[in-house]
Amino acid sequence: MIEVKDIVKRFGRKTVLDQVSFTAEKGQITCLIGINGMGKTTIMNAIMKLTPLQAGEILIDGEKVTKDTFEKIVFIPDATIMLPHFTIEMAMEFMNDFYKNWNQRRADDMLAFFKLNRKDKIASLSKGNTAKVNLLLGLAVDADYILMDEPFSGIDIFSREQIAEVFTSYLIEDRGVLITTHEIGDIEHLIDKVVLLNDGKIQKEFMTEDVRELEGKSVIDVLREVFVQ
Amino acid sequence: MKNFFKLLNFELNRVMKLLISLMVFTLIVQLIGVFVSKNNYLTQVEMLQQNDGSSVSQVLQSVGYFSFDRVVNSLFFIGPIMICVAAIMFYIFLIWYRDWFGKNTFVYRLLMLPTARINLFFAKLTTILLATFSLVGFQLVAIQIEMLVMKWTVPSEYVMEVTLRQLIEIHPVLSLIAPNQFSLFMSLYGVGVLTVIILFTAILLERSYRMKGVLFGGTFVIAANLLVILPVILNETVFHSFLYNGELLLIVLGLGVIVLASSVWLSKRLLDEKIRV
Repeated sequence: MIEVKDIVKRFGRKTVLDQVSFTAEKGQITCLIGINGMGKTTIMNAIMKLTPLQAGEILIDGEKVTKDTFEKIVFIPDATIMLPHFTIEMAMEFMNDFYKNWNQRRADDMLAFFKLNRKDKIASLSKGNTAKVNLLLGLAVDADYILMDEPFSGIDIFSREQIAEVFTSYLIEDRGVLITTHEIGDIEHLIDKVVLLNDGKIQKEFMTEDVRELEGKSVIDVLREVFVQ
Repeated sequence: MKNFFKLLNFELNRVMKLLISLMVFTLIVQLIGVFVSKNNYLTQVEMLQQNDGSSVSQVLQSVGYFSFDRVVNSLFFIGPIMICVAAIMFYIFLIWYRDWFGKNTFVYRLLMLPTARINLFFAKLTTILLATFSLVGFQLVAIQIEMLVMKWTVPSEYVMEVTLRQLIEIHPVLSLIAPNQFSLFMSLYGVGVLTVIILFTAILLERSYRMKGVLFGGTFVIAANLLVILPVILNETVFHSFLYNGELLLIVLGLGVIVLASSVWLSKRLLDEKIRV
């Protein structure tokens, strides 16, 4: 389980995250939702120790994040984080070199599924294909948890459909996924849990099935209640 | 340790193109220097022989022998060395900043690797050292090639041969990059390593605290340098040369080791706890 406990993050005098706490469990897809600039990406960065926090702590399966944690949690940001002159093949070799949990069979499956050419240079890929390579490099690590920052951002409808398909496949099964997205419609039916972030605080945390069954509302209905009213 | 070598190999591959370009540039420009110096000399020789009908011994009395130190003292020789030094200085910063500011933010990938982050620091440091030694080693080989070219193109009666060791002794820049004495070599490169480590820490301070980090980094560089040379200043001013040179050297060496260890410790803390993407 990913436990985010009372984290505080300030940029200068601005408090971006104020005592934020929530959990994301293994085997569930947890969606972190908030309008732009609300600190969603900062939370992802903080989990991966890519930005320091002023207070609070983050635990993965009850333990603080260390170098070994990076074998069981991967982060797929919305930017390309491989060297542009690398081909997809070189990027996979790089990952294989450093990650004990790299699963080449899974990488090959995704390469075929996304119809990517391993000889293509990363710099020459379209935005959609870049997002697919990011996904491939993250999901081919046999990690327990996956963090995804805006995986559908700025990409075409067909690529979005392909990426959404990944969420129902064996590639995600049994793993804990924490995702931020604006394109909630693409994966609404797949989300298990929603964490709503507003003004640096957790506004609401709920299981989607409970809201659907008990209140007869969709995720978008709840979002509208929180953010519009 | 295995991950350190993987990262080192990766960083070396990234610097390889720059290194090879610098080596080729150095060799070409210095060879041009050999030809320019040789042509200038032989023009003088020809003028003396044609206008005054001077014999070889008269020519040698008038313009002297042609030895490699004529080449070494020209801008064609010093220029590429200076450019290589500047390139290495620039690369000390580039090796970090390009991971943040390149087309893709590669620092995400590096910081998320399942390895101790200090390995990044040591891999980058070792890359700078190996790049420096490669350039110095190449320069020494290049001198031998250039000497051979000189011998082939200047008539032997006008050539005075000098050894590489003699060249290093007489030339201030060469004696600085490839000192003949082992102790001097260790001192100079020790100071070099310490300087790179201090600069790396300053860069990490800036990458961790951004604008404030520039101030912290600047203060750290000044404080670290002051601490190392403080005994020398105090010995000259307050203690009026009370300490022997050997004693002074030991104190400076000890302080150097303390600054080095503190700098590495601080860099490790910054990489583990404070760094920002």
